[in-house]
Amino acid sequence: MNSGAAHEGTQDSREQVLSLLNTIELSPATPGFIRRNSRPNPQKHGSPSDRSWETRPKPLRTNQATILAFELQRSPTRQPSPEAWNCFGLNRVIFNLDFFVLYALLDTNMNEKDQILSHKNDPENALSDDQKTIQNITDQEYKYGFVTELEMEDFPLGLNEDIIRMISAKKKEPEFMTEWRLKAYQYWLGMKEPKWPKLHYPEVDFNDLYYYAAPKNENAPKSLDEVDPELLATFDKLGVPLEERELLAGVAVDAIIDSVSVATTFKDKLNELGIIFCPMSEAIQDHSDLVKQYLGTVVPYTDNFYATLNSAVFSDGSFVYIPPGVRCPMELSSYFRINAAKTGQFERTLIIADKGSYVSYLEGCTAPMRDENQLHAAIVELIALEDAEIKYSTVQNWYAGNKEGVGGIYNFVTKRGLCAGHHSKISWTQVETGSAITWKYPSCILKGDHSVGEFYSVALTNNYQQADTGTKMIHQGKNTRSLIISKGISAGKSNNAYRGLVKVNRKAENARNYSQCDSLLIGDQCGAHTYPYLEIENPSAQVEHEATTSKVSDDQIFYLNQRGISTEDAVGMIVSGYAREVFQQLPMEFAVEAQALMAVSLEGSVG
Amino acid sequence: MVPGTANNFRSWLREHSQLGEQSQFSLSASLRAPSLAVLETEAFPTRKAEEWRYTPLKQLLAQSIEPLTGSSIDTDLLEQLKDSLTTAYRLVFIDGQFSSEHSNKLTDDFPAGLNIQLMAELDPESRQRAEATILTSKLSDDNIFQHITRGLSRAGLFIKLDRDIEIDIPIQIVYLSSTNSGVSCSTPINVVCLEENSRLQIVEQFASLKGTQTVTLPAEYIHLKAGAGLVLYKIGLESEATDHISNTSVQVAREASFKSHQYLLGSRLTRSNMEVHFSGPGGEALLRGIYLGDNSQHLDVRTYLDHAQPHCRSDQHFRGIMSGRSRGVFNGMVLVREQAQLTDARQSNKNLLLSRDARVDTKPQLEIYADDVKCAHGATVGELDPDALFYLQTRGISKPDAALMLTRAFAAVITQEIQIDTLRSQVHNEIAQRLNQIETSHV
Repeated sequence: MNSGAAHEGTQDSREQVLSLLNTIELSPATPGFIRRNSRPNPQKHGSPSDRSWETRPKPLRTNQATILAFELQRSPTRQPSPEAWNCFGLNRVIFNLDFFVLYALLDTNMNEKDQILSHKNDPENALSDDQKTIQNITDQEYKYGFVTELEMEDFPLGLNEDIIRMISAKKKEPEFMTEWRLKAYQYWLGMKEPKWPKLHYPEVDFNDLYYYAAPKNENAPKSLDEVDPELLATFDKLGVPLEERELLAGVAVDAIIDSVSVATTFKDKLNELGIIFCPMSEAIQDHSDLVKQYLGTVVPYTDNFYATLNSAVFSDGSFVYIPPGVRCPMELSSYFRINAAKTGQFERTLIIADKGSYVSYLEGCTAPMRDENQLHAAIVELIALEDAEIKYSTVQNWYAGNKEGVGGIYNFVTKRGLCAGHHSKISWTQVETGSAITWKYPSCILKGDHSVGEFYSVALTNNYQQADTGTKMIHQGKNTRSLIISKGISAGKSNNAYRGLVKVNRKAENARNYSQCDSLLIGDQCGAHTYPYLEIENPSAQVEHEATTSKVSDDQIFYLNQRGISTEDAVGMIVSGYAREVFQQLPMEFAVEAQALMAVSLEGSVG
Repeated sequence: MVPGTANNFRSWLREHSQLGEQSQFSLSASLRAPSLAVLETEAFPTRKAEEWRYTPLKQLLAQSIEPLTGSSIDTDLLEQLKDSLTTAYRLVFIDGQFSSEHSNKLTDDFPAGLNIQLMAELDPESRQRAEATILTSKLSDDNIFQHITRGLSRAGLFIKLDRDIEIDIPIQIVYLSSTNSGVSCSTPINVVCLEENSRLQIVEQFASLKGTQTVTLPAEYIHLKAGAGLVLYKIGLESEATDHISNTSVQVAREASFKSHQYLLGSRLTRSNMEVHFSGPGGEALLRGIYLGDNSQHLDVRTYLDHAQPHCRSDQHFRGIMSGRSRGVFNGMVLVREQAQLTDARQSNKNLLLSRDARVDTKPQLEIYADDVKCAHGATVGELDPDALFYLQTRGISKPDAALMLTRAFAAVITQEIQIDTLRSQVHNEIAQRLNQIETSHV
């Protein structure tokens, strides 16, 4: 299929789709269940030239419809690049809808796309060509498991003071950072890897890791043109056409491949408001006063084994500062990818919301397929001053290892927020479906009076995945409130543990906490565990914890079966309903993505 | 190996384990040896150990232990304890030694089928049975205190009930301490074996005179065979100079039922560890308890329910009332193993804080590996409901009275489940009395 033909086809189909969209009622509440090949195949069900589908449109799923609408309204006259069409056809996704949805679309809607693309062309050629592309992308156990051949400017293996000095020098850091890193390293040498979580994994040899990996680029790219084309192609595969980035509506992206941020968008727009959103390495140089003032104040370098390691060797990350009284007009977002083999990823994110400001930050992750376990030990520090609010959402889908439990990412993350001022609020939302091992406890220190901490989590484990995750709510100020909603879903042979601490200090008058931790078991070989810790030192506190464990009941499945819904869809539907409370907290794009992700992650767990 | 503070207690251990003839000890030499070896090598748990996170042992270990002396006893206290049960088979230990004077005669007074012997004087058949029960018992928290009792115990009872026998009259075991010079240590070890379809009630009361300093380290090993039923009451009324660390291991066979009621009302430090292991399907375990602390008491309840078999049911309900500078700890674990389908496990822990300096740490845990199960747990911590207090005040009840009323009602949810009338009223009175003493000044 030549690209010209494709363009012609799409041009035409664009109008069709637009008219089709008019007939569809968009209801954001409709859950999108995604299954491979659940759409009729035109080759099986009549010829592709049969155009009945145009007149009697199948209701597009909400997410698809939304994306299409968004896409078409955004640039109704724009000609997409041939590469992009080759990759994604009509289902190409705008960037703020991330690649999970992209995958879902490719998977479920490929036949429609085929039709759209090819109904004016030779159907056989078009289909085979398209399907080949689709095959390449979707016929992988892990959907984003490709490796970009970037030239890595690797440091020597292992860790010592010289490596740390090299990292620091490479980043042109001021003296205080180098000192800080070395202090952390010295402290780390005296620490032992903690063994208390309910996780089993082979020892990590910290001297067999690369502590710095960056795409090879002698001169920092001044514009997108200078960016390594290989890198651009990677983003393309992820549904992130770099050349369009600045045009993309709504989301400013600080995209990270391995350790160096390669492109930052929407800086100008944010600059107008005084918002700083830049790679950490840049912040250390350009805003060293802010970094010096806040870095390590929430997670000190002495905090824990992995946090200390991160403090010593962290390579990059995102830095956000919202000035007083500013409401950040867009969702800030950062994409993390782990790319080079054997590269430990040590991200460090610092978000400061000054008095009366608001920011919502999204974090989404994929990583290429690897057989060797990769270590990821990130730190996220949030600081909310008086009346400020930070909303931090994560959808995590790192490579979880194959069905036999080989490979996968070790995700040992320290995330902590400090409600420093009164009436401040920090809200964590996480959807964890990936990683061989997830070990993280996004926490809130409620220091300011009347401050609020929230934690919403869905953790899904399948096959041999292990998750030990939860939160800590430390009540220090008066009239502080916290809410914990945790939904664990275990399938296959996985183990999923909630571990959470609610601590009410002596001086924290009238603290309120409510925790709900539900576990859902799918199959009889998985484990679901709940370890809540409640430490209450003030009588005026009201602390409640509830937990239940259940399975997807045969009755529920039977009911849905008899309504003509397959068992696999039924499970997806039940799980989606079960996790609804958390999905509702996610920004819309993420919610769509998360639901698709759940269904994909549960594939093959039933029946 | 052992930090300085532990030396006093440990040196006593070392001395004490060498004293005396083997025949004086509760267990045979072959069973004592491994435990004595543990005493030599193992350190005492520190707060770094997950199971002992909230319970410091520094004060306990710093004490110098004096040898036990069977001194004069307070007959008033004994009478009071006797009154709590109108009819009972009574067995009394005074300062860690069996008192035949105050007890029923071991041979004559008991009905046929009920075999009660002192652990140190077991006949060979019973010894085999008792020691087999100990050897097959399980404790997930295999703490050093269990081994102290195993290694050093010179007192204790073996209670065995033959199959198909039901005894309505409870067995009352009283542990009295009355030494008033120095700290004494008692290490009673009990083994209870119930044969198929037998039924028994046991009431254990720990009491001491005000100011009596003791370290009580009881260990209890219970084996319920198929269809057997045991109700076990443990009531701690010791003085606030007492340290009490108990370990109870229960094996529940097919269709057997174990019910326990624990009332931790006294002592400076109590750590009660009760573990129930289901060894057959259809077993049942009901655990109830109250811990009521004032001043600087430290009360720690640990439960461990091992659902290793299908169709078992467990129901735990513990309530804590903490006042003064006291500290309550609840650490409850429900483990549902892969094969334990159709488990029904419930756990509830509610805590009431009555003073500014009181503190509660609770850790209700679920560890589940089977999918077709019903498991739920809940925990709450809070103070008295101000609306309820206000309501009572509008009815002309003074605030302290209202607070007392509500607190008693909070406890009564548990105490009303005591099946023995006289015992129930005694526990109820004891709680009321303690609540009266408690300053509810902050209310």
